[in-house]
Amino acid sequence: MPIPHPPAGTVLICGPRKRLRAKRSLMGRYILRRLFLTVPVLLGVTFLTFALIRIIPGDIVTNMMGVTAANNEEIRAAVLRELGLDRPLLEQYVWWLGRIFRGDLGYSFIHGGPVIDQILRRFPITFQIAAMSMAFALLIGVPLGVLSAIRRGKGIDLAMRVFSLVGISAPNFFVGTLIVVFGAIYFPGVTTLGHVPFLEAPLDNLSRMFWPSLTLGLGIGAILLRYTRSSMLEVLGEDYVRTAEAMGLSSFSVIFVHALKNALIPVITAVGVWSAFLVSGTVLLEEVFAIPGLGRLVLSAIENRDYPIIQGTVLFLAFCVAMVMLIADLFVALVDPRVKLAR
Amino acid sequence: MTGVTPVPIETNGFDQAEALPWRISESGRFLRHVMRDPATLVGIVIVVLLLATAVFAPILAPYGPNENVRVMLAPPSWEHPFGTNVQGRDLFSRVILGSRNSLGIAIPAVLLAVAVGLPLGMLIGFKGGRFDSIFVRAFDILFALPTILFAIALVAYLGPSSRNLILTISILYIPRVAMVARAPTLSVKEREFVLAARMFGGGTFWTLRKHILPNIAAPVLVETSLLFSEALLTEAALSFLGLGIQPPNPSWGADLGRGREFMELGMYQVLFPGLMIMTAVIGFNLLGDGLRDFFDPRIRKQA
Repeated sequence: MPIPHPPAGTVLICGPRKRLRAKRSLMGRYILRRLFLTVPVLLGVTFLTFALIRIIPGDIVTNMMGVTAANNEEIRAAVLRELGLDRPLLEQYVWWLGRIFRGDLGYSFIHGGPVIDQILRRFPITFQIAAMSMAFALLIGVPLGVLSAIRRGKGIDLAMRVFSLVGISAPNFFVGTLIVVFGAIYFPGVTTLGHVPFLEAPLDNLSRMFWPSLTLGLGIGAILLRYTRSSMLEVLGEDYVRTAEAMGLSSFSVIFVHALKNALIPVITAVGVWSAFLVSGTVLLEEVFAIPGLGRLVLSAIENRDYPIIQGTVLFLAFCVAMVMLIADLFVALVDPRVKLAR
Repeated sequence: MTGVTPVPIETNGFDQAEALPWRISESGRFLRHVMRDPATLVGIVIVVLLLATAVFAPILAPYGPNENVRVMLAPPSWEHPFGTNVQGRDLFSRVILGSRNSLGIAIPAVLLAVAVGLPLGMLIGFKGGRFDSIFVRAFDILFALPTILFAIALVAYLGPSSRNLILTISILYIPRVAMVARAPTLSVKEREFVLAARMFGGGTFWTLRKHILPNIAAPVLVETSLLFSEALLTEAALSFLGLGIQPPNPSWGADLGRGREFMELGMYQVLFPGLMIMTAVIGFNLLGDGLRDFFDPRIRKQA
């Protein structure tokens, strides 16, 4: 007869090996549940993208192609067929969803090539900016947040508060523009604009990507600074930190080994939550720094009224955000033993 | 697990368990709080100045937004404090008049989001159950969407116009307001006075308005102030990309975007519109932070 599984959160009175096994299965169940919860989010994202072109008032073909083209029966039929608009609504969605699952995001109106090819070609560029920005954000936000927390109420704390306020409030497309303009006027030798593939000229690539990433990293770093500061302040007030201090550990070891480890957990969750913001910022900065990533793909598609590209890229980036959120949550669950027992 | 839980976006940093009750009938106490907190004061001053600028813009601006002053791309001078742009338009006047367009988008957009999101959030929190969880799941999806990207897509389909900008921004913020209104409603609805009101036969909407609303107004007010700053940023970003306010209407974002073409002539082409966006955003952020400090008793205790 199978033994019923104890409900999550039960304290098990048994041997260490058994307890470890129980813990592992709780972890496994947490991961499964979290994965399961991602499915409706992803489905919802597809539904929204799907609904986007169907909720717009007015005739979609006229909006897309202009009046002349819309009055041409042949073009009208072709556009409706390409978008799948010539079928019943539910069938359209299922058909469209099936296409997406096969990696088919449709074909570009302008180039005629598959949308997914364009997206995959540009994705590494956007990913590089996003990853470098997040690295900068962590490098800036976490140490400064810790500094701000341990010097709470002092001059340096105030300076950090001003820095984070300005960092959060300064539009990144403004900071980026200033960097470009400043560079163009005072350092004509330094190229801040454009993009070269990493594999062709790694150093040139990094030196150009440095500026947009730093710009975005400053903005997100300012947000992470706030998270780090407040979570650090809370952790520093906990009993175990006082115990560590009372046991005579150096303040360095207390702060960086004992406190920071726990204070970082909400920061990691914040990284997931703010990844949507990161993508928005990347789109803007690609425009500022003339980098041919996914952001510029969308913008040029809007100019050309290339709707399959817009739809495909929005969908793709929303998927990426949902994935980053999932990974951040799973990572937190992995390092924080409290999460999986919480519910 | 005290203290280490991350601050969820929807609670806006408020501690649900401790932060009851939030009533906003304490204007005198707020004034005293402002006087002791210079940051909030700065925020209020910026916001008031900004609103005044927008209201009196036609009087304050020495030139019309599209008036040709017969000097092209002039650097800042006494006559043209922010210089002139490529069409020979006075940038100072455009920045002053641009405040009308920026605030004229941000304020209606946020008010619309509050007008829809606040009742919606209260209702789903109050009704609870499946009704609640369906909406929360739906909002989770919207949170996963990158704001600017979604706004770009929406505007791309709707076409750029002031009305569409307002609609787009408010659609993006409705779930935010609803979640902020929902969280405290969940705990307020369990309290005795709400039960008493229900017992006396108070209908859902009457109870929401008379008993829930006054008790959840504070976090919604804080969120509203922070949303103003975000709406300004979103509007500026869209205009910067050429998807917002269309030329030749003066707009900070659009002027910043178009100033880039002549950047080698000097910083002033982009500096002043950008600084205005930044100052406005700082103002609303400071105001929002100040309101939060005032309403959140946890922070009050520490001070």
